[in-house]
Amino acid sequence: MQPTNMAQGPGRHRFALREALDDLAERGAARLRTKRSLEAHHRGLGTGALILLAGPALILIFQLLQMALGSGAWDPSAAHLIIGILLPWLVWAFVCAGRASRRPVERARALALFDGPAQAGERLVTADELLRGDHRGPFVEAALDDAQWFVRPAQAVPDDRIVPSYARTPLEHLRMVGSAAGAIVLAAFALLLGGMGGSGVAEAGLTPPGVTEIAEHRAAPDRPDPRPTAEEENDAPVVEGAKRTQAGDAAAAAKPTELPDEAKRKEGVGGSGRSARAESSRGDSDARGAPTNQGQQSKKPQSKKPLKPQKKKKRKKKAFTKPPETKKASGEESGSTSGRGSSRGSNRNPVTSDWTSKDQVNTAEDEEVEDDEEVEDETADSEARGGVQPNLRSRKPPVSRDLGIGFGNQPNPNANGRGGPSQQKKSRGTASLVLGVPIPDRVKGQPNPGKTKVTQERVEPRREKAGPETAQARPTRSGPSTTLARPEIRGWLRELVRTYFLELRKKESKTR
Amino acid sequence: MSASTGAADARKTADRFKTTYRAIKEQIERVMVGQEEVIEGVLTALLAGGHVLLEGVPGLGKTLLISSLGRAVDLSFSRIQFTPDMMPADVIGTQVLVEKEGGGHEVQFQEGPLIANVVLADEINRATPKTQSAMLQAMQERQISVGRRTIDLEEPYCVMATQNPVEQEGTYPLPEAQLDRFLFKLVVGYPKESEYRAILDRTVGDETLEVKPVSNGAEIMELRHTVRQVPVPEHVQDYAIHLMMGTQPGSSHAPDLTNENVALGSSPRGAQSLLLAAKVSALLDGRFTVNTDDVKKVALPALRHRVMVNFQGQSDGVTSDDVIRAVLQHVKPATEAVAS
Repeated sequence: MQPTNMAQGPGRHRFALREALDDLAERGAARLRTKRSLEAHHRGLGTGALILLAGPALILIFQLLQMALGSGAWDPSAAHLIIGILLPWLVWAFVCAGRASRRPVERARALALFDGPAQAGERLVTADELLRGDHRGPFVEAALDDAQWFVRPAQAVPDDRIVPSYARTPLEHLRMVGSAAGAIVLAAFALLLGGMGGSGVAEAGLTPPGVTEIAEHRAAPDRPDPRPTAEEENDAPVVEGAKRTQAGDAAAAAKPTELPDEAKRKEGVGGSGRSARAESSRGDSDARGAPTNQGQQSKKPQSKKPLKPQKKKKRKKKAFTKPPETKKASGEESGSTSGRGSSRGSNRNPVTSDWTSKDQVNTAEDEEVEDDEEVEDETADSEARGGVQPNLRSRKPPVSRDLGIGFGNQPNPNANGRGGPSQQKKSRGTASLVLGVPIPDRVKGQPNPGKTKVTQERVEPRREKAGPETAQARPTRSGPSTTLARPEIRGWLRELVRTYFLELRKKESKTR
Repeated sequence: MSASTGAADARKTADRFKTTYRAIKEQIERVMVGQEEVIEGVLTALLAGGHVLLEGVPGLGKTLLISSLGRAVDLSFSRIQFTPDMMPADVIGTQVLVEKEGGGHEVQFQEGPLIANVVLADEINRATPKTQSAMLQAMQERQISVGRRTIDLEEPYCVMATQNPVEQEGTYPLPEAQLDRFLFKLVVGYPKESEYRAILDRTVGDETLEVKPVSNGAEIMELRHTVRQVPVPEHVQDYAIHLMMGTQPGSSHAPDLTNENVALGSSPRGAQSLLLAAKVSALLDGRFTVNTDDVKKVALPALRHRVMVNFQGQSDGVTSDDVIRAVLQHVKPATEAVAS
């Protein structure tokens, strides 16, 4: 095989090479553009498969709207459906393809298409670059000569080998099939709706009762026989239900707080059978502040009154073991006084307690009274402990035993004369002669560990039993020799160590 | 010189390059069984004018390989066995007081083992950083400074260092600056099962195998010059740059693996190494220009020692090789035509 025009001098064959590369680049670019637009078209068909659903869905919505307005469902023809399904999808795919074909193709990329099939090892791309640049030298010349050997094989490469055909991904395939199936189902539904018309749908019970009634009224003049047919008898419960709701609405409009008789029966006397709806309606009326409901609210404590004596009985049982003073006090106990003492306070939340209004502190006077009572209690407790105790209210925090060197020349503010931090210590020796240098009288430090005692025991060496090691054939090494085997640690431990060190590094980097 | 003559000369030079390379390789393979990739890597580094770091467990023939290479190319060869108590003067050389013939004394410079053509720095990570850094100037600038004098090292100069990945206690990992000066880091693995028989036959028998010199220093320098002449197309240069940038966390070409697990990426020396080694690869493949496949081929040995994996990567078991493989997958050459 001879390179192109090799016999006609280097200048000429450079020119010939340039021309050949131009042709190849043009051909490659055309193929690449076609491939891109085809790819984009296919991809558009795949990605735009959801658009398949848009046409039938729109038709269906349109039909339902028409039916809701009472003008009867539009009966689309097959042609309408086909156009509605396919047109947006195809338009989308063609738009994608058009956009892809307009993208410019790089010359190097176009030439590289031939390098692979001709097994040129990028010689064509490189030769093109060297020809168009200012590269000179023996190796450049050799490279250009070398490239000429690959021009003919490149020209001989068939088009289908330049660019591999586009293969749709399984996801695209699935999406397309699914969307097509969905579109068919929707179209069939649209056809069914159109075929049935408005009345058909109403008979099938697809529309709400109100809409059915309207449809019935409109369709009434067309009916030849006013007597109810079997179908109408089947429809009767629907109408009855509608009437019932109408009656209910009328009752609700007449008196908001009055419940229908049936509902009252269900509720019973104590109101235990009240439904959630009834409860919520009561809540609503409470919010409105109707006078009847106010009356109910005022009755609430009365209805819960019987609970109180039970509570008192319980307390009496508890108070039986206690001295009479505490028994007397227990009569006044309530949820709001839980703060008096942890053992005697009620567990009930004062806010939710029935006695909140009675015991709640509202004024400054009330607060004072409570304070006074607490003081009396404390003195009473201290007397009960057998003697006059210091008032615990004036008790100071426990003394710190930390021997600090003080606060410069200032006395320690925490000093209380009971040990611990105190006024500036007196110092001894030469240091005491230096002004303003407080010397601690004790230096913090670690105490001497002291003498260590080593006890030695003489033990006769004992022979341990050990079985002989059985020789085993070692398998050949499969992995790279230089990587060290990682120690076998459990997954959770490894993760724990890793997380710990990651956190540590994070903290370190933050502090920096 | 006309274009056709220039092309013919280039062809001759390239042929000579290939012939010499094969001859040296044959001589080394007389004593060295298997390890073809390592032999090719060492020869590529020698012809590209770089230094090599060999990593492998003891007993795999690293020292034998380099001493054989020294004999095959007829170059002066010296070996330094690094130990923790070795001082820079032990490597570079020192001034000693010698007795003159006519009486009296004078101070003379005694050359250290670093002054040779091929230097085998055995277990380099056992030396202290002070001694390791004594090699920096020699590796980069091909000269050493002792006292007030600077000695130029004779070309071709090549440092072939070895390090042991096990027994890390008492070793000093090479600093990044020194690692960056190695063109290649080659990993020496165990031989294949089929190679063990040949190794045993050659080593436990009575026969003594000798390596004959098939080249010399001057020829090696010419070959190095040839390598430098090979043109690199723009798209290949771009690819090498993108690969190098792909190892740098936060760069536009870095894959997620790099961003998450790399503390330090390759320096510009990485791209230089890629292209120099790719030029040798192109010549051996019978091409006069470098292509992207050449760059891909040398990416692992040229970049693996320039990528420092961070703590997270280490805890996840990510190696620098994994990072480079991810970069090779992520960075596509401009000529990848199939990608739309």
